[in-house]
Amino acid sequence: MALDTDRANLTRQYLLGVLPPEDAARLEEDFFADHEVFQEIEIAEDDLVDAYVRGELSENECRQLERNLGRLPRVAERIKFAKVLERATRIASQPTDAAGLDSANKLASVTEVAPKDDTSEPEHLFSVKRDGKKDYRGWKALFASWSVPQRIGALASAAVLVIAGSFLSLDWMRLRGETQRLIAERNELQRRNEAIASSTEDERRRLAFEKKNADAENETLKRQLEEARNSSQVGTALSPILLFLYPGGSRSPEDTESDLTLPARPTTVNLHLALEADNYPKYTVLIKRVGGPKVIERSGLRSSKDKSNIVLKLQLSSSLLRLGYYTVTVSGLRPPDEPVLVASYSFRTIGGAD
Amino acid sequence: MAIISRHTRLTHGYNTPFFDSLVDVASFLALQPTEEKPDPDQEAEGSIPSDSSSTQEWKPTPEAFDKLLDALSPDRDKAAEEYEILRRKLHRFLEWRGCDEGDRLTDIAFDRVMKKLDEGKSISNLTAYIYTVAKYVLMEWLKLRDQTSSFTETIVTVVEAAQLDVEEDDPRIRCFDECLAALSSEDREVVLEYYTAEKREKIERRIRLAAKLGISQNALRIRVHRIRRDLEICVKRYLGATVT
Repeated sequence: MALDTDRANLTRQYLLGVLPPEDAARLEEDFFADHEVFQEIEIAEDDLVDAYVRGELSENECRQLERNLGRLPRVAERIKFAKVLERATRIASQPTDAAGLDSANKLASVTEVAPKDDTSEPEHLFSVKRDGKKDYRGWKALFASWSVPQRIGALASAAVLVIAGSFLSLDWMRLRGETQRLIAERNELQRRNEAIASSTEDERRRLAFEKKNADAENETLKRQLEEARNSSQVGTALSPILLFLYPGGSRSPEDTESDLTLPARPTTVNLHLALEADNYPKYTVLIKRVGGPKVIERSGLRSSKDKSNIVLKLQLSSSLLRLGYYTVTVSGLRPPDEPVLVASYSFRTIGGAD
Repeated sequence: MAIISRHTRLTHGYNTPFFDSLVDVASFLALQPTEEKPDPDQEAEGSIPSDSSSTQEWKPTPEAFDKLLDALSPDRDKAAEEYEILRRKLHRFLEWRGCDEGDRLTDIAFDRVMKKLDEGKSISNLTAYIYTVAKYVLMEWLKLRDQTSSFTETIVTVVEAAQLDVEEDDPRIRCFDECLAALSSEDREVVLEYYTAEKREKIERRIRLAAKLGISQNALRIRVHRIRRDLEICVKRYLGATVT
């Protein structure tokens, strides 16, 4: 049954979705009832797709086809097939070569099993040979030539390398962090050492300075003592006499005698009494001749620092002293408490008036 | 979209693969569980179920299918052939009318026909009856689609138009070469010659080819159509095997 032009136009309009509903219903009743009509419409779909691919449809028809049929997966695939078919026929329609092959035989010779130039083909993961076997290329060919156990072994080795590498990387990062922490600690310790050394040096200089001052003062006192001794012998010097007593009566921890040489003429006696501790705010000092009356009593005395010693200082005239033995008692005062005996001393006067 | 129940989707027209996909995604993200309760209205004619797995939808039985085949032809082989042709026609009819769910609606139409046959209904012209049922099924589908047509059409048009190109490295080219090589030399010559050239020259070549083969032009068209269909099927299978 030949399809006339009117029927062809109707069919095309039906496929494009623009046929009036009544005409479309009649056409559908026809093709449901008649296989040949249905086949004609299917062939018309072929022609429509080809016309679309070759650009033989108007712009409006192209849009109608894309809207009505192009969105159907089946027709979309048909359109792609039509493009591939058009490409193949275009190649086949190339001008005949020197061998005089016509288009059909030329395409037949092209599509026959023939070795292809590798340089003219795009690189694929694999190509399917005529015999169905896969042809691997490049580095994949090496892998493909291995047996299954070899491939498994290679994969396992690669996995082990990756895992080991990961562990090594993690360990390296950990050690790096540890190293940085240790460096920071070392720097901190260095800084502290420098600070300690600096403070130690300062303390050493301070102590050296104090020692120097103490030595100078000691020299001065020795000189004064020597002068006092000299003046007491010639009767001309009236320098004060220093009498330094430790508890028990010694002038020093090493000395056993505490003699005071009375001068020919009255002079001032500087009496320094060393205290073992300074436990009271004020003290009372009582000097008494052994077997005799009280010589002098001084209250409200405060201790003072003499070099490294705690001392009570008082002055008295040498005229109050006679030849003989004397005792000195020191009592601590903490009102309202009663005085407390703190220490006692003794000395002997020699020479001078009786 | 996630909170639209199946029933709401039916009555409000959200019954398309696009919205089905949205609901699936939303369910996956635990935004709202998809309701599995069957729609009590699915049994009635004139309502398209959202999917064919509804527990209340009539399920075709082998006996019902036998009745359908018996209605097509007393010869079981011929009836099976008629059934395949009829199914193909139904599917094409739905597609040519703009339905992109041809498979599902074809099943629905046949289910309804088989249900009637199973209930004892006598149908004199089965083909016409199937066509009528298919029209109703299509109308129902179009009604649901048109309620969201502006949004759905825009998306579909844009997507499909961009996917019609074939690049030089398309695997279809290699598959086509293989399938073309698998044809007989005569069939290969016929199909290549038929589609070579354009416009006026194409018509003339076809006339010459038909004369060379000793057949009418219409017969040539039919023969080329069958060769082409075979090639398409071959390419589709080869493409599927290549991708796999």
